[in-house]
Amino acid sequence: MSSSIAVAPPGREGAARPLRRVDPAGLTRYAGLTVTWVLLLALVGINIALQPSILNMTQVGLIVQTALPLVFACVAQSIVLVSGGIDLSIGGTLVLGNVLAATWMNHGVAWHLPLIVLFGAGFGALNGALVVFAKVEPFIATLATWSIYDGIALHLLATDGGSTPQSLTSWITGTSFGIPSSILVLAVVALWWWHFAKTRAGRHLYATGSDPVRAALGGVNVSRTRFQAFVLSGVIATIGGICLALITSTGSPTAGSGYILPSIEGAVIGGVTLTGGQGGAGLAIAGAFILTFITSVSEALNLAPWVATVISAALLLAVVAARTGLQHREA
Amino acid sequence: MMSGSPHAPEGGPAVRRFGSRLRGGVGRAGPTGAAFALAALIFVATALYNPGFAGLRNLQQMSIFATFIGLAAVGETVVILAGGLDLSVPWLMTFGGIELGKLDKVAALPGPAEVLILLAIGVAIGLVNGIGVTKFKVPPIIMTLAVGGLIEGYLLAVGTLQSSSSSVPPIANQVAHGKLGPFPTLLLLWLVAAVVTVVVLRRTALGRHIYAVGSNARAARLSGLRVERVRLVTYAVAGLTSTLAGIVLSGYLGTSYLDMGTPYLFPAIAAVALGGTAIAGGKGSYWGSVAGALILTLLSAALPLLHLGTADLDIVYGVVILLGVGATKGLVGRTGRRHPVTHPSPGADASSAHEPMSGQRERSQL
Repeated sequence: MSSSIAVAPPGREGAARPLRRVDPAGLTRYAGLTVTWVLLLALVGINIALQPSILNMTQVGLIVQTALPLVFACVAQSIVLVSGGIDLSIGGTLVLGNVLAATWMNHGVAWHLPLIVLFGAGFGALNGALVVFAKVEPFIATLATWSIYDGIALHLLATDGGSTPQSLTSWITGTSFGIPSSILVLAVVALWWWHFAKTRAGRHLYATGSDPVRAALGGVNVSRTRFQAFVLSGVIATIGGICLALITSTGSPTAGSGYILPSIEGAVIGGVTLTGGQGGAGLAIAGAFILTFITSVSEALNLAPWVATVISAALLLAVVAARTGLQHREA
Repeated sequence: MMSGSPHAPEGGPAVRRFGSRLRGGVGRAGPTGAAFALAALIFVATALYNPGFAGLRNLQQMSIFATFIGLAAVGETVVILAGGLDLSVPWLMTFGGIELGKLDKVAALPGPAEVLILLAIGVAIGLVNGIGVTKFKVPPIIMTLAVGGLIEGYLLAVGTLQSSSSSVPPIANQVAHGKLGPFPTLLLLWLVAAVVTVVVLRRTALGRHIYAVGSNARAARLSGLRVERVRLVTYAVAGLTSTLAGIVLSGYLGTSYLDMGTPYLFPAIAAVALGGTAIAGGKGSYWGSVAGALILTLLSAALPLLHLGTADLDIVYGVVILLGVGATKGLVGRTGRRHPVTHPSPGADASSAHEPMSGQRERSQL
């Protein structure tokens, strides 16, 4: 890739800008993103007002720990969404990571942890190959692999069970260097994305998602970029599954289906669009926390479970409709 | 595409449907023929292995299971053909089942009136989906997902007030368990729905508009079609058929519960994909979805006979979808050039339907 490739900031047509102006966190990329941060801050505020006791490291760590698997699912989804695809198999890869962790890791972490992550890359690579080389629609390809991965997970672990190494479970639910490990894991993910978005591969991801034809003309290997997005998604969702297994210290072959639609919901509430090239994993993390906070606020208020369901659904609609409106006005 | 396109050249539907062109290779029969051939293959192979598979009772049973998927797939097919997607199908099904029982308890109207009221509500919910997608430009996945969430929230909210709302009124029971001669009433209901769907898609202006909007919304708009209204109608149809599927499902199960529609999210879309309908819209047919529903049902009935469990069924489903879609792609790739998509208006530029960028944009709207 040469630095002469121009990519228009999404949401604005025409004016070509140099690639280095890509804003990795997606903070100022298009109108309506303030909605995300206002929402997140408001929910944090409400949470603190309702339960002032959560303002300490342990409690914050606990909240992050609860949100962690969803965060990974949303980050995985957002990378594929930015590339212009969609990944319905996230539930499948997540649950495979979960089940493999619960069945293998007691036989030696040092060998099996990297192996499981490698498997995750393989699952993602299969998705990528189907989409990029076999030219199957991402929606259909990942719908099919979702079913396949779910089936494999059921083979490995027929019912909830298995166990994870006690040492790792107490690490992720405990602290390291004086701060809760879950916060550390979150920070690693955020920092990785912050770095990745600025790399050549990251910029290619945005270029591919916002306009594949122009990206290809500018020298971006669009096929490889799309393939990479699915591989990354597979790896990240698998790690999310491993985290879920460690946190609950057991495996569940059916845990995955609870993450497919929420991963899209979280990414979109955060500000990632389904049209590709807009948003990013940073926003997806924000979206995952918005969803988590809605549940925790309604639990703190002792509201019936349906309230959280309705509020998340209504919020999803309101946020997307508001952004669409703002974008149309801007354009 | 051949049997899928409303503009398929010569030959009556029956000719293509029964795949009498198999002599000329599956390619000439198109994706629908290939899907029916696959369904027949699964059926014959399993029946040879276990003759009881072709027994009357089992056939009746399987046709009933296929009906639930088939009815849910009516709406999904029509929405996808027009370039949309409906993820609210399972929630609409649950809604239909639970609310019919509740309506019967509260109002005690004649059975058909209750069903009509619920179907009207289903249409209204479908219209909400459609309005969100067309007027507020919310992507279909998001809109229908959110509406599904709202339905679930409503059912949860009301469910806690009336704990025992799981009774099913007689009408749903009768339809679900009734028979006309050897034929289950449900199968006949599905047949009627299928014929109506196919006739509307193939022989009416609305049907042609659905294909036109799905294959190239911009060209359709330029040629004077009211794209938004066509899409709105497709979501209303999905609201209607999903609710109907839920009503008959609750009648068959003899109860209704919150997760009862959930297992149908995957099959409803999978049946459409297996039938060769393009997920980006504009290409395909409801007969294809019928074949898809049959394949899914046959597999789920056949695998236990081979001592294969749920896990294997999941894997086989996935593999069959990939193979089916792959085969369809090969077929369309070969036949597509010979039968280009035509547009309702001669003024519309037919070649733009295959312009890569416009396809890209449309697809990403999902």
